[in-house]
Amino acid sequence: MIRLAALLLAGAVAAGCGARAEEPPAEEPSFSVPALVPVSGDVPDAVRVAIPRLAKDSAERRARRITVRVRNVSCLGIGVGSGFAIAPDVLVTNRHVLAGADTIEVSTWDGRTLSADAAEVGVLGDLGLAYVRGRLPQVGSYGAPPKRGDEVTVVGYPGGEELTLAPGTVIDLPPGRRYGIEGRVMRLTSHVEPGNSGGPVLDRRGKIAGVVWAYELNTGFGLAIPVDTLRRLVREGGFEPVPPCGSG
Amino acid sequence: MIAVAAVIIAAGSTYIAYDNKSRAEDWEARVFRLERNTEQLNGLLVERSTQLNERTRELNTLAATVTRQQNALVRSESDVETLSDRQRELAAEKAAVEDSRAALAQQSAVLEGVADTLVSCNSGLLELFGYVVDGDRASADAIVGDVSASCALAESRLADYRVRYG
Repeated sequence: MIRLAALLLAGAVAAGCGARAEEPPAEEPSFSVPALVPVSGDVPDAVRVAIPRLAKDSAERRARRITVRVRNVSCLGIGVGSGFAIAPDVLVTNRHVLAGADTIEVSTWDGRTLSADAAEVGVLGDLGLAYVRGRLPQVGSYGAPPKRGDEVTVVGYPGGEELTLAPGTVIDLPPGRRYGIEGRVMRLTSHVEPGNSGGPVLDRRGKIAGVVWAYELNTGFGLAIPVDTLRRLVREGGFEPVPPCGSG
Repeated sequence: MIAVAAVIIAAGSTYIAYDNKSRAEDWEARVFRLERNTEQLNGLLVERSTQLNERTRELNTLAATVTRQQNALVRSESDVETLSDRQRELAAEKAAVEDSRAALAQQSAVLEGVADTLVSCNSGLLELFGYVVDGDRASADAIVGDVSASCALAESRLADYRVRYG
């Protein structure tokens, strides 16, 4: 009995101690150390880079640059109107702005004064061209023919004072014969005063949509010659020398 | 029989004990390697943190510089706009002054014409007065018409000037 008990005890001990420990995983514990990237000098270099000046050429700035103030010195006195450049030395204005001039002088937005060597006026429309000695600040570019409802801006020197920009819309384009001129006339909601005559009507992109010509006395609406009429008359000619003083 | 069984059991137990010891050593080595890896990772973490802090500091410096430059740019644009406005005002004033200059030049030319006719009238009157004083009636009669016309022209031009320029 005793032997049997000892045998069983030994077996039990052997069985207890015989529990085998778990084997470590076969694969080695490892990790991949990412390569160190040294701090580059990009950031300090970026700090030293000067921020370039903004080259903003807004429509407003362009409008100021293409528009000029026209002074007509005639036997009747001093007359003032507006105009705009269609070439570095050619400007468009109204016939009645140039009429009777002994001397034509042009003031630019930046304070320069240029003299006109020659001038001519439209036979059919109230348009005039003046050829100046020197370079005008900026040449305007023609836009598309205006349509009813288009947003426009009238630029000029009302009363010969400072340059103003008067926003508005195209009301309609009635036939010009109602006003005694060729082609169509552009009626605008923009405020127009004496001195605005000959100034540009600009579209939303700052391109030329017409030439300010007059305003309706009964409604106060501004009147302008559309750009297509201007282009046609400039292309086809139809200009004559400036009428002498007193002849209208 | 019992003895043989005991030997077998003892041998088995010995083998198992030996095997377990070996595995324990493997586990111990594995723990050592893991601890070493952990230390390396800690070192890397510290190094990366240092780099990150350095980069953050540089970016903050950059951000501050950009902000300063933006503010300077805004001020500069504002200054340019102000100067541009002032330039336009001065251009308008200059144009107005030139209008006045042209008007004055024109007025001066007209006045010069009036003065010329007045001088002519005055000369004629002096000449006529001389003839009258000398009793040279024939000469006086000869120029009195021209003198009268000259003085009438002068008077007319002076009146026109007054109407036009006040």
